Amino acid sequence: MNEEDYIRNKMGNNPFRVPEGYFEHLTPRIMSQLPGQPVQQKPALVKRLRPLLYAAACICVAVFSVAIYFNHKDVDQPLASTQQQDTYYNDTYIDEVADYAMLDNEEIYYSLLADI
Amino acid sequence: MEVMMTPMDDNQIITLIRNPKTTQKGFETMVNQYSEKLYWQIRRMVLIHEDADDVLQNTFLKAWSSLNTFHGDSKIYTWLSRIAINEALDFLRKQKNKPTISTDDEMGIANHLMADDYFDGDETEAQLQEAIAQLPEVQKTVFTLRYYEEMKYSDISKIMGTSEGGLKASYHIAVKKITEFFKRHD
Repeated sequence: MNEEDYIRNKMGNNPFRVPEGYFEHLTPRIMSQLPGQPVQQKPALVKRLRPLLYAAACICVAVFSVAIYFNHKDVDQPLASTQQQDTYYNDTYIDEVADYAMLDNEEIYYSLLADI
Repeated sequence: MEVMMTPMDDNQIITLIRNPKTTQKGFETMVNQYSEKLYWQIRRMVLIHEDADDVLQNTFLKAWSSLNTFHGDSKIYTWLSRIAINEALDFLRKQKNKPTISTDDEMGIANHLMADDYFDGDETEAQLQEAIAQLPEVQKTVFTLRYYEEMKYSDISKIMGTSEGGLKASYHIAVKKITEFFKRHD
């Protein structure tokens, strides 16, 4: 005999009882004690729109991610022409400054070496 | 006044409840169909009729106030049982802190039952209820639902939020403890 059967053999019928007529009058008694209508919570429309809102949020994140990626890519890998243009502007600027300052190349080199 | 109603299935009750004009009628049907079964579920946990009556009323009050949170993804009885079990366990926790029944006296609960007007069992029955009352909450609940109502573990799992494997283990331990209790008192 397993343990469950052992317990069933030990037990008789249901030992608990209720007052006479208890169940017959139970439903009206419970209903009479209820407060007003249940409080209405969030409208169903919000619940229906929630998946769409999540999808829209995901799309926004994806768009921003792509935009940031391409923007970052442009900064890391400038076009050769732009680089050349920057070099041209830098060299031109230095030449103009040098002319203005009446310095020759040798004096510029010595001044740069002095800073090292 | 007696309420005579034709039994309805869950879908019919839910349809009534969702319509604001028939919410009350739907809830009344729910009370009429499930109150007795819920009463016995609670009574086996709290043991005393007056306490079971209080807990049952609190169960339906809570069900009424949280009606909008029930979306029909489980059976109505499973949903109500979850509320009832939680209310019964809350009641027992509060009662444990009261000095009315001595927890140091091993036979306190059994003697209390023997003196109760609405308990017709003999001393062995009273001892069995004592043994069940001393089980930890999970074991006590799963034993009550499985042994007396032969409820499926899948439904008990939804009520208690515990895995089926865990419930089977708890039930096995509960049965073992109750068996040992009887053998000690034979």
